Amino acid sequence: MHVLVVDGEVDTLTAPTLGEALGALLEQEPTDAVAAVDLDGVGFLASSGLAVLIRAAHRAEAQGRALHLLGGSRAVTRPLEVTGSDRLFTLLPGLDELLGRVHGDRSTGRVRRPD
Amino acid sequence: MGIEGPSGSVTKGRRRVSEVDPVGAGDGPGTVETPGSVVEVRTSASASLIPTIRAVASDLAARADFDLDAISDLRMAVDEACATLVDVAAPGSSLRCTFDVREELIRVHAEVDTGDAATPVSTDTFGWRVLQTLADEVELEANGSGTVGIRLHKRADAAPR
Repeated sequence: MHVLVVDGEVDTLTAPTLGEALGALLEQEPTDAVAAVDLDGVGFLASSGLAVLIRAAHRAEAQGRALHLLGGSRAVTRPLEVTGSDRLFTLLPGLDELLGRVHGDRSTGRVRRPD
Repeated sequence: MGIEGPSGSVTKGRRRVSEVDPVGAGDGPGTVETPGSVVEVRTSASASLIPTIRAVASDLAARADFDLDAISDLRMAVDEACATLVDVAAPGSSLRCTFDVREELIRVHAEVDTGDAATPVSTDTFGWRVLQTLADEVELEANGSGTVGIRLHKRADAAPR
């Protein structure tokens, strides 16, 4: 399982950095592992940030897997809903739900829980 | 670099707590913007200053009792409009953003100087479609006079999506 933890504001200035990090996330071997982006610490998501997330979702899809987005703050969920791009991702409240879904249990031994 | 002591010029103990607005309708201290208030923010046309402008947008909407989704939408719409304009602004020019806070509505006008070598604003972009979705009305003003502007309206109650 590969989890990218994102913190801060994703706008026209910072979206390229997120794009690079998403690229690195999806290149990590094995490329069929569960991939997730933890957006719980994101306080703002602009269309430029949405665009790089959508590109990553398409890339993950081409790899035969879903891109999971974690975190339920309005700053993230509202842009996704308004643009209808929430359909491109598997949205989960947090890492616990992802682990529950992947392992069928609540084990947190393999991924450090972000603060 | 010196540090001002307690007797320095920073504060002399006099602080304006509140001013009575003679035309105010008895609003509490939290509602500064009576209908018709205008706020103008002028910055260098730089992407690094857009966070300041969207913070102002968010603050005005919150004080005008916009619902949480509408505040989020306005913040994102203003960010998008400003980012679009900064992209075509002449080097060293400024970005002027005016907020007209009405009852149940905020009108925003953002404008930059483009200079002679104006790059046209494309409305055939993902960002523009997002802007159209977020704002209740949006309009591009590009009349070839050396400035480009974007007008948008946002109502206080966001339509459920």
